[in-house]
Amino acid sequence: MAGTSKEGSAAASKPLPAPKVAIGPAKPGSQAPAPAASRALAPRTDKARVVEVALPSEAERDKMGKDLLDRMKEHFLGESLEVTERAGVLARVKFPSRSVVTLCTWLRDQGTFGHCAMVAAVDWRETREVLYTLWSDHLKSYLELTTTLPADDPHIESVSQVWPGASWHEREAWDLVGVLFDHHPDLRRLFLPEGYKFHPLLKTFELHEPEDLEVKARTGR
Amino acid sequence: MSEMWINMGPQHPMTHGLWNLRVKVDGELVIDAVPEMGYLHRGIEKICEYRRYNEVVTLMDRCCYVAGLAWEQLYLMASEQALGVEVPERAEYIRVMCQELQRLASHLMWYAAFVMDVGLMAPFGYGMRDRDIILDLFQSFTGARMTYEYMRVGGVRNDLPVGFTDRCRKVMGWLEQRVNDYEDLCDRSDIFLKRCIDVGVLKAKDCIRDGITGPMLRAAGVARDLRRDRPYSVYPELDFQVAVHDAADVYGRYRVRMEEMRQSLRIVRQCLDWLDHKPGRVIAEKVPRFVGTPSPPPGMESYIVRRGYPKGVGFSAMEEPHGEALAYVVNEGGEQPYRVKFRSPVMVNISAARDYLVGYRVSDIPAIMGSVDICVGESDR
Repeated sequence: MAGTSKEGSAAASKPLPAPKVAIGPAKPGSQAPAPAASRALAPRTDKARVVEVALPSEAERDKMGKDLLDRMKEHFLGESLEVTERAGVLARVKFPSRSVVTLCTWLRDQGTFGHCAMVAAVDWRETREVLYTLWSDHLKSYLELTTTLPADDPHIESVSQVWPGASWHEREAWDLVGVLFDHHPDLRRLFLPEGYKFHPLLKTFELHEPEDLEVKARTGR
Repeated sequence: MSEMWINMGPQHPMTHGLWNLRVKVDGELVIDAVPEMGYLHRGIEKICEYRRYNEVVTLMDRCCYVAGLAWEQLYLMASEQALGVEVPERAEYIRVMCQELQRLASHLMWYAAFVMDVGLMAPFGYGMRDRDIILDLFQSFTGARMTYEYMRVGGVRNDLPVGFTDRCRKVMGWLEQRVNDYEDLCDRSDIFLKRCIDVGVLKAKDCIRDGITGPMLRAAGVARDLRRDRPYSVYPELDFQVAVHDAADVYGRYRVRMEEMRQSLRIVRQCLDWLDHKPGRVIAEKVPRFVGTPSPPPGMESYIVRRGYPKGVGFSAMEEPHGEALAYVVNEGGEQPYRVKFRSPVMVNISAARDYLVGYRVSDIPAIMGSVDICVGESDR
């Protein structure tokens, strides 16, 4: 930047000299000075590093995962957690919806689950399920938390205070499945317009097939 | 100074799609930013519940239109787990090759658009041309250039045509040279460097807090790449490395993507070598029959009863060109999935816009948002 401003002030003080050589390729002997702007920053060569990621061995990971689940069960003795095995994730933990913030805070601080990958909601007609998928860089695996809410009053404490990245996932779950997240910093609709009447991923929301509309258009009914 | 809100979008060259970025400015300084999504919401997750498993693949191409094959595989890995279908090894190699070609195409598209955002015109043409050459490769075995519909539950639709591997190798050798050239092109451009260095900084701690993934996170020095951390498909057998940069700014993200392109070229070559020598099936022998038949006409669903297939839940995670993508497929014994849910990396990366825009100038916004690599089709679904 310094080079440019100096050049700029110099140019402002005296008028530009007329070009001595007419248009054409530069002669081999005559060295045209490089424009000042190109000297402002030296070419950067700090390319990206490539690293090998060291994975813990299968046995090591199983042991660490088991340790963590045991500690979690011990810490939340009174909360009746149900831990089941699931392919692809460390475990599936079913928990009562009232303890969501304490459980998530504990998992973030004590359980190395620093990344909340996804908050999903499923409509099971009588109930609604909320799923939290967490990722741990230390254990290199996902953990699935799940809880059930009654369909007539589906609300749960927001985990945006634990992981700010969960904020938009919760907005999406509210928008599409109609689950309310208490104390969410900004619980507005994410995709659909504000004031829209439906939560379209509820099973009560019927989809009209294009074939339906076609038949109606043809028969005039 | 008086403050005011400006709408950048929904039609703005910076957005690369349809979304609205509301920024609060104080003079030239950005003091607040609120992204607004939903202009491209098509309800793909809802439509999935009304389509059979193979029919959903069509929607996946429309979900992310710059990396359609990545989303096809993401969805299929989850639904194969939910349905209990095994994929033959050759199909897995073809899928991984598609993945990496798709990553190259996506990053080249990003390069073209991003470098034009920061003020260089020539690379736009180069990036788009090279992407087109990869699309030619796709066309030769899927028949389409953007909406492929190539993968199926249990494998892929057809094997590669004769002579494909040689043709692909030629393109890869050529691209390797080009990627180096493109990096040189930007290294010597002061406009580029001035607009990228120390702009849009988001440190590793903040990235993790905001849930940011993909090249943005790796540019902040965190070597998280699901292809390595939680290997899926045949990635454990392949030799490649994870690209990381410590700058945590727009420049670092550009460097990470350029290096990722080189690593992708390496992976594609290894897949081609394997595919040359190991012929075999490309689709599983045992796939439940209903996944391939068309949906019954409306009103007839209740007459068709399906028996004997297990229920299940499928979960898959994938390092998509934009970041960490997850799919969750619930199979409740119906012929259609009961619920399909996707995690879009782009949606989360945009959601933290306030954190990486505040404190920079309005003229930095195109460069910063360009470095995020936005695909609105995927974030809005």
